[in-house]
Amino acid sequence: MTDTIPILRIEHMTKWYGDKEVLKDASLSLNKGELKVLIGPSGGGKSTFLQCINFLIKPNRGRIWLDGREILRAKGKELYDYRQKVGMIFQDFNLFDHLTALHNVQIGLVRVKGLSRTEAKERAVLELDRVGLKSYMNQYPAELSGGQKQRVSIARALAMDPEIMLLDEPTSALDPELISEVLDVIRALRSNGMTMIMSTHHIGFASELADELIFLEDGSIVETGPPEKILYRAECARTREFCSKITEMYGNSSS
Amino acid sequence: MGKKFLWALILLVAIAIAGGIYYFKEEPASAKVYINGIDANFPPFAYVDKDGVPDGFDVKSVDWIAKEMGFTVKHQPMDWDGIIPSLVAKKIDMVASGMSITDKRKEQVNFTVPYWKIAQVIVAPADCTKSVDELLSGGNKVGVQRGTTEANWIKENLIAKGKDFELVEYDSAPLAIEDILNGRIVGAAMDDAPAKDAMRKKPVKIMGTFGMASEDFGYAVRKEDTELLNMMNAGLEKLMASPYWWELKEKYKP
Amino acid sequence: MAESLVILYGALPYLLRGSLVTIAVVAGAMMIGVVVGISLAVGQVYGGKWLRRMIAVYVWFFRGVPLLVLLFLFYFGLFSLLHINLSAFTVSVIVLGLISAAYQSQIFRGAIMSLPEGQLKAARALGMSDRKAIPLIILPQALRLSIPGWSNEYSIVLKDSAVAYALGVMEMMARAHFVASRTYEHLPLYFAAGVMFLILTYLGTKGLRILEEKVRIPGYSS
Repeated sequence: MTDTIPILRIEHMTKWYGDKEVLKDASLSLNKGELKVLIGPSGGGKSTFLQCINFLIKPNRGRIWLDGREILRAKGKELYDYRQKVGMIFQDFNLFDHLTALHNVQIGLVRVKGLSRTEAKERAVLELDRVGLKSYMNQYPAELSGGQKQRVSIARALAMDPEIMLLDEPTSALDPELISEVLDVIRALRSNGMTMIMSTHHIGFASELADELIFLEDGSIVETGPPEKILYRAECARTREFCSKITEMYGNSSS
Repeated sequence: MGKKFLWALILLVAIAIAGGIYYFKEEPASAKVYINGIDANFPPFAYVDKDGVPDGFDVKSVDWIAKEMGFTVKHQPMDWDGIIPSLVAKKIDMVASGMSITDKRKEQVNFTVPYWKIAQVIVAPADCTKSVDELLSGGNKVGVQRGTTEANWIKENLIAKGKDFELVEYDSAPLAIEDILNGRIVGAAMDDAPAKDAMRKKPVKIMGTFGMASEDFGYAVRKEDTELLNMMNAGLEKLMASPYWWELKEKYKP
Repeated sequence: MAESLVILYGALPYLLRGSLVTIAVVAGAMMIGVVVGISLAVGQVYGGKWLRRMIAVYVWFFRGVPLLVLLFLFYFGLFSLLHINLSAFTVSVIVLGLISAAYQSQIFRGAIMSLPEGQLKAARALGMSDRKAIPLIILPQALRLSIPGWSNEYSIVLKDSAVAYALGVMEMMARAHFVASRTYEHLPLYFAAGVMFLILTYLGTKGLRILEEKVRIPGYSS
């Protein structure tokens, strides 16, 4: 029966700045191995939602359960432990600019997980190898291409053994020819059973892999459903409008 | 990465600071080491010699007294502006550095018996043909060392009473001499002893006094330090009765 | 002229020993400035409202009050009242250090704020506390960016250090003054002191430029 408990449950998450509500009462539930994709126009609240999930932005209201346990005090050790279990990939990669690829992956293992340097290095090399960048491990971020940076950042997140990954438009800052190398890595994660929430404009990629699409606009979840429903038989007019536009722009091929 | 370089830098800095602290560490307060604050810009009474060792009429006098009375003394060059605050704050124990005994200073410190009578004079270029009165008029610029009795006296008794000249203040009397030679001031007021010292080394001459009564030099000590005061008084009297006093006068020609 | 040179030559060892004093004062003050300055900068960027206000007052005070006044205030006032008997050298180092900290904190603060916000976010997302993320992620980058400003601050502290003579610290400038008073050769001696200050400025900024190059992140511009 434990399998039916969602790995992550979010209820009524709300964020406002002053009197501007940027996330309104968003709820979501995620089972192990699922991939849910947030779609919607830019500024619609996707990034805010993802960052609220691991408290990089403090939500004003809302409850979060991980593995059936509610995160009650998003502070101190409880917060740090929680964040280790929720890996995050950013649109702008956010690699630590002063560290090599290897040290980017290693630093969390040593300083957060408390591994010895040799253990951490072994693990970091393994993760870099998995994203195909073992031979680049001594390069600094400024010496890597955008796609390579994003793959290092995925390796960095995976090294922490997260239960869930949050991916905030992981390919938006990439040159078109570099997008597929990152999508391939994400596809591999998916087939290895990683639980993920991802925001993206790659509707084709999303429809191929996602269990569910969540359409977010003006901070509200407008509609949720399996890809074929959201893309072709959406109930809400706004969802249909957005999906037809985005399909036109990005096509529905998956890479 | 520049880690080695960084460590070398840190090491270097640490050595520099440690060296500085060691070099300047406070003398242990025991064993009767008294610190004499001097204005090392006041030859021939107090200055530092070629090797940086304090020297001068007052320095050698106090050294003799210390030996005679059985204590150790260390001469600490100080900024003249801060010398009485330093004495009051116990950073130094005495000032034997050509300090005039005045009522105003007596409010803050005690003085020994006078050991030197000093007149205040006007110094001008060696080829100057004017009188003191002519120098101190006509909007002329006249130099003086800041914070001295002559500076105060001139302000209160000449400038305030309408004498038509401009007083230019310097950090030290030798700097005023320098500006006389540069032609920036027509003359400077100072004690006659440093004036004579300057005359021996530079083309300047003493033009005469300017109406200020002569003053007495004494050693200053803290009000509560009566023991030291008595010791210095006794020492001074011995010194002035000894032949060494004449030797000092001969050597430094104050 | 020849006479001046002889005097200058004779005074050189004495002046050079003074330059060691100057170096010690400046090195000490810069170290205090770095340690206190970094703390102030971190407090000012990441601290709470009251901490930020207190730091702003600190910076305002130490930037606003003239150096000489601060030296006297600490030497004759504060430390004397507290019965802490520190030498003039130590007090000069501390006061110059605290002033430099105020200026350096603004250099570091600017550097920290110029870093992309994502750096701290990424560190937090890995489960790092800010207490770890700031020294491990933020400061190594911010300090690299601070080196040019730091080199500027070094030459200012170097020149300010001459004021330490007011307390009786026998640094380079004071010694030049002493020799000049004895010999009446002010110009050549001040000139020599000026040249020595220039050399120290050059060596310091050169050293910092080497440091900047050594710690430069490969491929990273600006």
